[in-house]
Amino acid sequence: MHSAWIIIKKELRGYACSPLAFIFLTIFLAFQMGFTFILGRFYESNQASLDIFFSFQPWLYLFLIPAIGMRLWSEEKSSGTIETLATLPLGMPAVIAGKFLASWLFVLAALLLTFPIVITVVYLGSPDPGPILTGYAMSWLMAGAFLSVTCFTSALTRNQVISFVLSVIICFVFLLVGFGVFHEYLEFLPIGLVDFLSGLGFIPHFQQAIRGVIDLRDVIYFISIIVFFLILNAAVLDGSTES
Amino acid sequence: MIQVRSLTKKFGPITAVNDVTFTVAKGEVLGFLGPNGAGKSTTLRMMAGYLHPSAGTVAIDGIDIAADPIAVKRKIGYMPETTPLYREMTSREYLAFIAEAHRLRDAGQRVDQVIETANLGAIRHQLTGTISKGYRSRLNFAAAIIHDPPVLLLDEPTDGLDPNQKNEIRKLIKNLSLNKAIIVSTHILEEVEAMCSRILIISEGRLVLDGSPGDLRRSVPRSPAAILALRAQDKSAAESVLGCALSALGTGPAGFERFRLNTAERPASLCARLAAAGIDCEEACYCEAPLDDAFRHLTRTKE
Repeated sequence: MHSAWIIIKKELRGYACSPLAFIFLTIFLAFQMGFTFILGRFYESNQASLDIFFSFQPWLYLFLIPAIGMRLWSEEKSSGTIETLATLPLGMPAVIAGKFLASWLFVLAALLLTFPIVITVVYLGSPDPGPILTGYAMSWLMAGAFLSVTCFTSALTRNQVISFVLSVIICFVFLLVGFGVFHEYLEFLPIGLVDFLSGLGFIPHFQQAIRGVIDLRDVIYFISIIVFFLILNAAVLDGSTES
Repeated sequence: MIQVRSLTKKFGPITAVNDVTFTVAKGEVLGFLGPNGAGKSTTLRMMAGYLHPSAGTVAIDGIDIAADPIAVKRKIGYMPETTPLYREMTSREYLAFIAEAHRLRDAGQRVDQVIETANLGAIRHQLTGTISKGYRSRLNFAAAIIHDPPVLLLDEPTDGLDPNQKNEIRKLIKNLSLNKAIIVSTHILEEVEAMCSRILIISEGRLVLDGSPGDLRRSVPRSPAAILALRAQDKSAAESVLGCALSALGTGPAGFERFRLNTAERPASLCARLAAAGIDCEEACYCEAPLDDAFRHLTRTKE
């Protein structure tokens, strides 16, 4: 795993040196707070909880996570450094894991920087700490699922914009299938299939955690999504050296 | 050291590399020649483990690259033709990253050594996105030799360098060749003469020549000829003595002009006959086929 660590360090330094990363952090925090306080009417809700804060997160991730991850492979492909990377004695699985983990850590940093909202809630009322902790933990895990999709789309193309758009589309489908309203349009399908599809959505697996419950099945679900898309990522990279 | 057997690469319907077989021993510098698009880079990319071969094998030091790619990659220093670099790193950071990827214990020391060797001191702390083409090449060269690998695969290492820098890199390659097997792809023929002990020519994906620079010269069918350096005013006298026409080639040593004549006779005996007739002959040698004639002859596409 030393190889993955080398890549993690390289990628994290890339984020630290990149003005885009700081722009991203600013936008993430601004939108996160904007959604919570303005759209979500946080004060008017009169609740000492982060329900509102967390419930907007999947929609924020839909655009921001692809923006973080779109460069991961596309940039290596367009600058040709993928050739350097592939000929170093690292092993592609370690490189793929390293790139994913580095971006995931960056998302964690962004998530932790939302701490003022926790302070606000604690200051205004006496919230139950359980749902806050489980909400943050599952939110990070869900962000990982979004990110793995972006890793995969980024490996498909040397163009970052295409990788961004593809990733948003795939993630949007994952949000929609878990969204109650959407199921009315699927009535023509057998009920079993609709249930199966809604089980594939991100949101239902996230909602439990906002209420303070960590269900092992939800954890396994998100980890499976991550592993699945990282395997696809590896297959795409292998394929591009094959043809 | 390097064994390549029946290496083949197909991109869809196109066969880029077709059944290429060769070996390179320690101490050899192999010049890998061919027109653009002949399959040089594709071959090197397969050897470096970037592309998977459609058929055939590559083994370094007896280890098959398909069986243990990481072990093989440790033994190879590869310089890609496109000289890729991470723009957001400085030259030193880039080399440090490569050194770390090779898990060198004395990484910092090796980085400083190759900066010295490749003459990169001036751009040590400059972002690689802002350095010139010549520096890009040399930085990639430095990255290829940082772990002192037994095998070097250099894809057009002198591309974009000025004549002085070209000379330096050639000297470096020659020096390194003592205990390494080196493959240098190039399309500059003088470079091949300057540093290669063997030549491999590839055309349309196939090997068309594997031999010494002399073999390459002799591969082109050509009527025998000699070159003589005579005084310009002796031209017609010499023609009547030798019994064949002289064609002027240009100025030779001070006061003499060079002439070419088509004859199978040895230059020494031509000289002796001219001396007997009282004509000064300053220089006499065989006229060898220029390398680029031979190159063109071998790689000309069959229409």
